[in-house]
Amino acid sequence: MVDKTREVRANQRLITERCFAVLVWIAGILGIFIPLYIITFITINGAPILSWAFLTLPPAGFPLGTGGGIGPAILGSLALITIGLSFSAPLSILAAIFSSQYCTSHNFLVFVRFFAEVLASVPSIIYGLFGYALLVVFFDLKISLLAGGITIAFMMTPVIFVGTHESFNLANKELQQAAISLGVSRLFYIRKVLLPKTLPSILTVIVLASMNAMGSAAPILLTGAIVNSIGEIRLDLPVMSLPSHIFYLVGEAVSFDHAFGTALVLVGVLIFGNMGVGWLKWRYIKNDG
Amino acid sequence: MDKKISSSDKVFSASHVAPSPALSLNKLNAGYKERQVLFNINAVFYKNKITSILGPSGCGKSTLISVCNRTLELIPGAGVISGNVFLNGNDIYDTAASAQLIRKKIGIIFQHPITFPASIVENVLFGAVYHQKLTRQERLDYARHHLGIVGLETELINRLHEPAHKLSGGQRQRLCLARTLANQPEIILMDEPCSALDPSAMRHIEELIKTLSKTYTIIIVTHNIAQARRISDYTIVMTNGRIIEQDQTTKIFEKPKRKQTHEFIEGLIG
Amino acid sequence: MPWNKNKNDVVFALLSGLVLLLVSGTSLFLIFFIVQSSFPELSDFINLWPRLTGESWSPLTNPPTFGIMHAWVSTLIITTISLTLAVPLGILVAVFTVEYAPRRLSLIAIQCTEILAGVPAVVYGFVGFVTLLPAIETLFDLPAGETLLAAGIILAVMILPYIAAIASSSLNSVSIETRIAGLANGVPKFYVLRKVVLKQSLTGIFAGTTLGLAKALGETLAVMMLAGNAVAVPKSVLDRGQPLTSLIATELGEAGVGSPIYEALFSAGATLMVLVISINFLFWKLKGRLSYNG
Ligand SMILES: Nc1ncnc2c1ncn2[C@@H]1O[C@H](COP(=O)(O)OP(=O)(O)OP(=O)(O)O)[C@@H](O)[C@H]1O
Ligand SMILES: [Mg+2]
Repeated sequence: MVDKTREVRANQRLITERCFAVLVWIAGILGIFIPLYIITFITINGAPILSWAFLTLPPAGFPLGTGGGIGPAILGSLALITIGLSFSAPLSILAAIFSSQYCTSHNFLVFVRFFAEVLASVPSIIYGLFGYALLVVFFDLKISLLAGGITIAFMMTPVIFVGTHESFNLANKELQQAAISLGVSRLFYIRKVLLPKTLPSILTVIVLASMNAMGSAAPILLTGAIVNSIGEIRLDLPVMSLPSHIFYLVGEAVSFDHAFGTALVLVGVLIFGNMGVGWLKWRYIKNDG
Repeated sequence: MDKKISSSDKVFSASHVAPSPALSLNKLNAGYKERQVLFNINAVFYKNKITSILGPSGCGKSTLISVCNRTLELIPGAGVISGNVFLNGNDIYDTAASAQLIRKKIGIIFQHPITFPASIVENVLFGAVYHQKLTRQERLDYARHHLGIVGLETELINRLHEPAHKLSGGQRQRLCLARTLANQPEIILMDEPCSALDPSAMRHIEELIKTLSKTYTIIIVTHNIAQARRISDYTIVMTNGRIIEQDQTTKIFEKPKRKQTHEFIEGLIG
Repeated sequence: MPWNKNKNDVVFALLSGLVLLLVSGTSLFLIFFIVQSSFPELSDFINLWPRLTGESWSPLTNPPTFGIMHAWVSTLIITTISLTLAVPLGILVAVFTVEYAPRRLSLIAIQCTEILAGVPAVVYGFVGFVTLLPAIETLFDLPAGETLLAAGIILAVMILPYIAAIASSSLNSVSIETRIAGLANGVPKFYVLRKVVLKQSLTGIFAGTTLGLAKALGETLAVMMLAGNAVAVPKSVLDRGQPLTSLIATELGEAGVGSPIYEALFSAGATLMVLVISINFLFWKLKGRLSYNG
């Protein structure tokens, strides 16, 4: 009798355990399958349309986008990121240097870090709202490359700040004492030791922030994007961008083929960027060891 | 329901039962990833006896006892290289043997006591509620009974439902002992169970170990040579992953056969 | 600690300090600006509540009404759907990679979920548009597949990698010694997983959930493409809706500066921002606790 209930319990246990294992495996396979599915789906549908012409020509046809290519969108995305980086990278790196080297108030540092991490997670649409009200309307920049680029810069700054601050702090732990004991000046230490040493992680952060910005369409739609352009890149004119072009093609049901092609280019660039970051990290680890 | 432990238990008077082996190790080699630590170990642990294992730090004592209940193999890369361990005549490293069942039968208290993220009571009951059916009512009594055995019940009577990580090192050590006892094992392996205890708590545990030996086979690793002499029936002395001598405690301490043994217990090596 | 003093050094310190002030000043201004724009006069603050709870959004009627209840109800429904799907799945994926999968497969799974994090929102929206919408259309026999459900499902896929990553790092932080101490009681691995490992990782899993929540609340484009952009207050997951983010993105271009509609959009933005900031505050606290445990 006792043995029987024991056996029943053991059986029940085994069943629960097996069920859980099955669930875990299903989840794991989904976790592998979903990304692969999305990537293959885009690749299979997008590859046929890819050509040199598609990558370089402006959109054409009627409605616009059913023919031609995405040349201006690629250029526009690159221009937006370049402007975003040229504002945000120097500023946020300088700010990170100050907080990791000169700032002595612990409370202030904790506050700045928290504040930056919060800003890094503020939804991109909020940046769009801000950029629209302040840059497009108040400073009268209109919907333009400059307004879009600065909005992107706003988004990138906290991300780059947090990332570089972190790696400066790590490097400080290792190297600062040694530098002090050699009797060099702080500026010398920053220029000749800290920056070269942390260069790979600074690059990593910059690439990550750029990829993040390149993928986000919402703020650009509000501040810098236009559905068609012949590819003229001027600060006071709006530009096309890859994500906003996809949005236009799908939203207005213009051409799914072209949307697939554009998505493939965008995802390709981002995955390539990801791999680049992986390589940078790997090199960083190798150099360290 | 559980094995009652009381000093009035005269049915089994330990000293009059001819020792029969509970656990025996045969030509055992074991180690960690890329490093063999135990070499050709042959040892016997007798039923309802206390065997202590002595040896310099790093000689492989902890490794030796974790081989005895198949916990060594849980460390990635570690395990038995060759040899056998017999429990009541069956090889515990046989492919048919269930490691889980063996760990239930042979309990272990590790050198560093680890509590789980739960209350004190839940910690004591961790394995017990798996191994036996206990009603809600029985559970608290069962946990308190085992806390009582290790001398924690009165100390912690008002804190039974507090998280266990708030306990002191010595209290944690005894909690781990209570957790193992609650699993109702046949053999108990203890790795320096008194290392974090004050003299009076240590006395209590030593008394407890003696009492427990009426029901359980006990193997205890200790750095305290006097303690080994006080409580154990048999003693094993190790250096560098090899057993140099094993015998009745009185013989080891009074007439050691090997010079090394003598030097070790006099504190000359190690 | 005596650094070798140097005049350039002081100049540089001042410069970088000014930059830090500039950057944090601008950012503080951003937050202030968004909140302030949603009620330019202090007296407008009283309007905030009726606006948040107003059921009707119709800028073109006379008089126009600017209730944004439909928007945050949509946001709430979509977020709930996505968390309900993504949290259990994310935890299971984490358990898979840390506890169950052979090493190779686990590495593959980690790489794959990282890819998921790199795919931009608009691509998710697009893929959902061509695969999920037709499926929902036929499955529920609807005239069009655009529903809160579709948006919620795609959002779940989008936040999955964040939840899985944080959950698996907290599973990883449970030491091998603790696991062995559990197994040494003669219980199976599953029992230790349930009673020790998962329990010890609870803070981390919760932290991952808050991060996923913050991401879900702020997501714009993917949900905009899938939720249907309807301004009625949704009543079921198969209704169309328009979350806060889509409301802003859809209407901002048409809104005159300083008009009531403009203010209403900023209220939506401010609500969203305050929510996300509070969630991040919670995440920050949890992360602190996590590093003490680990
Ligand atoms: N996890 C491990 N991985 C690799 N080597 C280990 C590991 N644990 C122990 N060792 C090595 O195995 C040898 C024996 O260790 P063991 O812990 O068994 O010694 P010990 O006799 O218990 O020492 P102590 O008295 O200090 O506890 C030591 O040389 C130790 O460095
Ligand atoms: Mg040891």
